[in-house]
Parts: sequence; C-alpha cells; structure tokens
Amino acid sequence: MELMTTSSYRYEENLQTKIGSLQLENPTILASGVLGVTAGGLMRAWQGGAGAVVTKSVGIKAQPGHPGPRIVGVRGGGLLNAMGLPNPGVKKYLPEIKAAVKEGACVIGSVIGNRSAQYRKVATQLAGTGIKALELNVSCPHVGTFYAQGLKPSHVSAVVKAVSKAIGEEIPVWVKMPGTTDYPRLVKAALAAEAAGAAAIVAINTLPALALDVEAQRPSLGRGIGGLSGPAIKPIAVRAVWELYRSELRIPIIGVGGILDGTDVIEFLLAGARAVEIGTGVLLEGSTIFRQICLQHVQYKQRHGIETLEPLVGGLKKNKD
Amino acid sequence: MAPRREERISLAAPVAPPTLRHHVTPILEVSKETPKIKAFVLSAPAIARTATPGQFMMVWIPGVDEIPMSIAAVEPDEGHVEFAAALVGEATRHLHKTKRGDLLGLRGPLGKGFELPISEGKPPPQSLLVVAGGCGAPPILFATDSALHGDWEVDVVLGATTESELLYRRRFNCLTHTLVLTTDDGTAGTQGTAVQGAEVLLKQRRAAGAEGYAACFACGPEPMLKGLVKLAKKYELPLQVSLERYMKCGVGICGHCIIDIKGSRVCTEGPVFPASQLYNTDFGKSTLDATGRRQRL
Ligand SMILES: Cc1cc2nc3c(=O)[nH]c(=O)nc-3n(C[C@H](O)[C@H](O)[C@H](O)COP(=O)(O)OP(=O)(O)OC[C@H]3O[C@@H](n4cnc5c(N)ncnc54)[C@H](O)[C@@H]3O)c2cc1C
Ligand SMILES: Cc1cc2nc3c(=O)[nH]c(=O)nc-3n(C[C@H](O)[C@H](O)[C@H](O)COP(=O)(O)O)c2cc1C
Ligand code: FES
Repeated sequence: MELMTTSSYRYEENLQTKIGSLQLENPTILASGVLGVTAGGLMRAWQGGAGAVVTKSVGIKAQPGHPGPRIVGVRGGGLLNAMGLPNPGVKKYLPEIKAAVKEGACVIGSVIGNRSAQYRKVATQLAGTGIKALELNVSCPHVGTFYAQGLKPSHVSAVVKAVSKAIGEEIPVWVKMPGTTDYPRLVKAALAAEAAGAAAIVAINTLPALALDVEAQRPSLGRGIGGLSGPAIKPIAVRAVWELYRSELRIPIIGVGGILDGTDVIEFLLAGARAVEIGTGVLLEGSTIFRQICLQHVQYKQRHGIETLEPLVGGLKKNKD
Repeated sequence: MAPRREERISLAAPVAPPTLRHHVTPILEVSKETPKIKAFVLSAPAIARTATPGQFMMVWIPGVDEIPMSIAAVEPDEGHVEFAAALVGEATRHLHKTKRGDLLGLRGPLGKGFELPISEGKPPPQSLLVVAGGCGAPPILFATDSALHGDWEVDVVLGATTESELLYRRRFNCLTHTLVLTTDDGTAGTQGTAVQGAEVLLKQRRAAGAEGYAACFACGPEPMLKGLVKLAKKYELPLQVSLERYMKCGVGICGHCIIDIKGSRVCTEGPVFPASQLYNTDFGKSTLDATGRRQRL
C-alpha cells in the first residue's frame, strides 16, 4: 500500500482512542527519548503517522548525559542504551516544543527530576507551550537513583501531587513506570499515582541490563549499565500492562516496549492498553512505523468485523471471564 | 549410518548488525600527519568491504567516549580502514595518546556518502571538483580515490590554516594532476581560503570554454561550506557537502543531529547532503551542543 506522509489521512480510518479526556487520532505515540531532541525530530514521527509525540525528558538544568558508546544492539532483538538523559534544560527546550505545536503536532511533554519541586518547576514551564499532556518520567534505569524511586509509592505520589497542584486540571498527567518484572510493586506504585491524581499510566521504560564486549573485556556502554528496549522486552511489557489492567487501577494504560508492527500493538490492546508508545521500533522499522501500523489495524478491523479498536481494549479479560 | 543432522529452530535474531555493535580491534598503525592530526589504520573487513566515500564510523576509545570519524581510506582486500583525527578535546586527546596494538572499537559504515552522478550517454571522462578544508580532508581523499578508479578526472582544492596543517597533501599529490593548495597565512599555495581556490579553478574552466564540472564534493568547516554553496549557485555547480553535528547514536534514533523541521538526520540522511536540500535547515546557522542546547554558528 502507498504510504502517505501528509496528515490528511489522519481522521479517515476510525482508529481514534481516548486517554481520559484526550482524544488521539490513532493509538500510536512516539516514545520519549527517541528523535525528540528538536521540533524537527518530533515532526518526523508526527509526519510518520504518530497519533501523538512525547518529547525528550527534560529537567531544570542542561545535562550532557553519559559518555559514549550510548547504544549497543544485542542478539535477539534488543537495544541497550545509556544516553544519560541529555537535555538542554527546560528553558532552552521550550522553543522546540512550541515549534512542533505550531506545526500541528499533538505533543506530550516529558519531565525528569529528582524531587517533586523539580518536577513541579519543569512541568509549570512546559504547561504554557500548548502540550496536550505531561508524562512524568520516574523511571530511567541508568541515571542516579531515578529507577528505584519510580517503584516507591510515596515518591510517585508526591511527584504527581506536586505537579497536578501546580498545573491544575487542564493538562492531564501521565506517569511513566520503570521496567521491572516485580509486577506487584509496579501495580502498587501505579495505584499510588492514580490516587494522587494521575490521568494515565505509561508502562514500561527500559529494563535494567548489561552487555559486555568480550574483546575489550568491559561493558559495551560508556556508562557501564544500561536500559534494554526493543522486541526482547515486549513480553515483559505486555505482562506489565496486563497486571496493571487486572488490578484495581481504573485510569487508562499506555503500553510501551518492543513494538514493531500492528500485531504487537493489538497484543498490548488486548492486555488492557488504550494506546502504545514506540521507541526502538522507529530505529528498526523507520519513522513511518506509525503509519504502517495504522494500515495494518485497518485490515485487522476488517478481518474481525469491528468498526473501531475500542472492543479490543482489555479483550483478554473478557475472553477469560 | 551417518548421524542425522538435527533440525535447528532459531528464535534468536541474527547478531546485531555492525552499525549497532563495535568491532573491537587493535590499531595497526598510527601516523602523525600534521602537528594536530593523526591517522589510524585498523583491520575491519566488514567496513572496508562495504563503505562508500563520505560515510563515517563511530570510534570507541574504551573507557573514554565514542566519537564520529569519517572514513579516509579503505583496502577492501586486506580489510583495512583508515581515519584521521584532529586533536580538539577530551576524546581526541586520549585517541592521540593511543599506540599501535591498543584496542579501538569501530561501528559502521554509517550514513549516506557522496554520490557520483550517473553520466547519461556522456562518455567518460567527466570531471569532478573536490574541496577539502582543514580536517575535512579524510572523506575527500576517499572520494577522490574512488572517483579516479571510476575513470573520472578529479581536480582537488586542499585548504588549511598553514602549510603544516595541509592534511594528506602528499597522497592527494600522488592521485591527481590538479591540486590547488590554499593556506590562510600564505605559507603554501595561494594565500586565501579553499573557496577562493575553488573559484580560481571554476574561472579558468569557464575562460577555457570547457564544460563545467559534473559534480563538486566538499567537506570542511561550515563557513567554508557556506561560501561554497554561494559559489555553486553562481557557477551552477551541482554541489554535495558533508556536514558535522554532535552525534550521540549515529544511527538515527536519538535525534541529536537533526537539522530541520522535517527531521533530516545528519547521521542517517547525511552526513552528505546535496546543497539544494540545505535551504530551510540549520546549515550555517545553528548546531546543538552535547546537552541539546542550540548554539549559533
Ligand atoms: C560525521 C562526522 C565525521 C567526522 N569526521 C571527522 C574526521 O574525519 N576527522 C576529525 O578530526 N574529526 C571528525 N569529526 C569531528 C569529531 O567527531 C570531533 O572533533 C570529536 O568528536 C571531538 O571530540 P572530543 O571529545 O575530542 O572533543 P570535545 O571537547 O568533546 O568537543 C569539541 C567539539 O567537537 C565536537 N564534538 C564532540 N563530540 C562530538 C560528537 N560525539 N559528535 C560530533 N561532534 C562532536 C563538538 O563540536 C565540540 O564542540 C567528524 C564529525 C562528524 C559528525
Ligand atoms: C535511545 C533511547 C532513549 C530514551 N530516552 C528516554 C527518555 O528520555 N525518557 C523516557 O521516559 N524514556 C526514554 N527511553 C525509553 C523509551 O521511551 C521506551 O520506554 C523504551 O525504549 C521501551 O520501548 P521500545 O522497546 O519501543 O523502545 C529511551 C529509550 C531509548 C532506546
Ligand atoms: S546521532 Fe542520533 S539521530 Fe543522529
């Protein structure tokens, strides 16, 4: 099928999904940290068909991130990264977001910090740029203590409360959870986020991992440890979504981890996600991956005789009952 | 009875491609090319076999950092690759301290290189103009060598601040008849910039009534490239330039090297771009530093 790269197709396929009050034209979202350092990167994914695009995680101060190598591919479809959250600091980043918003993209701002006060300050500045939601990154597995913090209900709760109070109810707050196989802890932290006012849970970030180079006899990444993404983590991410969905959590779930095509996305929807984010897939399939997935969804809907994607969400639970 | 070969079912994807994982290998040769620039030769057969001029590698200095370096030369039969690094900061300082036998990691070949236009109906030889400024010489050396192998005529302009910094001068000299040297201080060749050197050649050609160059390739500091873009317009010269931007991944995932609102990545769609694609980009205007802050050029 011909791939269109203009936005004219956006409303024509009945692929819309709602994350609380926010309606997306389709359920595919660009994940944070991929392409989104500049407005141009966000627009590349938007033109590639994404229903929304998440910015690079930004903090208060400019950070250069970790030394290279910052990425390494591993056998079995995984990518390890230790970028180290490089970012220009929120002030310098605002023009990039504004430019992407002006071009018509649905932009979600991603925030990183150490304590609630930092999250609050960054969120307040992002709130004025035209972003449609805020994603709080409480989960980077290779920077400081961020990773452990994201599984602490008290920390997650404090961060969400501080941000919600500062920016009001106009802009929904999403919380991006760490990659982990400790599902009970993940669920507890997510419930804490919900109780504190979060509008959606995004799961998962990369999983803590390590790759070694046997010739150099040292870690393949400059930072040493890193975060695993790509197809290798998909079953863990699907399980995380499923565990969240079947818990008492009532807010929408956005699935992330290892998505390469339309069937991967349907899997996440069946497990309980209302939308998905895609990171490594952009590297492996190109930036039109979003559009390709939408086309596959149109075919899937036809094959299964459904009008929208809605009946698929949480289908696993219905089918089990 | 011969044992039956077991059927193998594989769930594992093939090993990660050479663009995503380092080939770690000892340095075969280090040579001091100028007071500020050293050249390194290593064995990397996969890269040597597939690289095209203008492509680059991510070079890992274990324990230090990983930095992009253009490929200066390849020996596909021996499997050797060469790059040349100027001493500018932390990573290149460590690189300059390495010796023969030390390990480096190479990831590549990366990006899109120079493209010789396909001559339609025109019999060879056609002529190519190449312009190298400062440490922009490596990809130009590779492009020159490769074009000569394809029966092109190549005129070279090599510019530097001063005579001792004219990188690969001898090798260009062996390759081509027309080597125009320019130095800022006039210690070798004509005093002036590589852009002025290029204009001299273009004028000569025009005056002699010869056909224009079929293409021009250039690499060097961005102000030089900017000057060349202007010149190319004046002389209707099809120009391709190799750009540098801060690179964190080199394969198109991090977005650090993007230069326009369409998301053109220097590491993937570049580093070589036709000059015609550089309108409405950050070319000649701004670049991102290591954090992603925009800096005016
Ligand atoms: C595609 C490409 C090809 C290149 N080819 C060559 C070459 O053949 N020979 C050569 O001498 N240099 C080349 N460079 C430039 C070279 O990568 C930098 O000089 C080198 O990274 C400096 O590292 P440093 O730690 O020593 O300097 P630093 O002190 O870290 O920085 C000095 C300057 O170098 C640049 N730089 C630093 N790190 C990077 C990075 N990761 N990516 C891009 N730029 C960086 C920045 O502009 C910075 O301001 C190339 C750059 C690119 C993008
Ligand atoms: C290079 C790279 C950079 C990333 N940077 C961020 C980031 O800044 N903030 C964040 O919340 N997640 C970041 N992530 C995690 C992704 O957003 C995503 O959660 C993870 O990669 C799993 O999805 P995937 O398998 O589709 O890549 C990054 C991932 C990669 C590969
Ligand atoms: S260096 Fe990462 S996208 Fe180009």
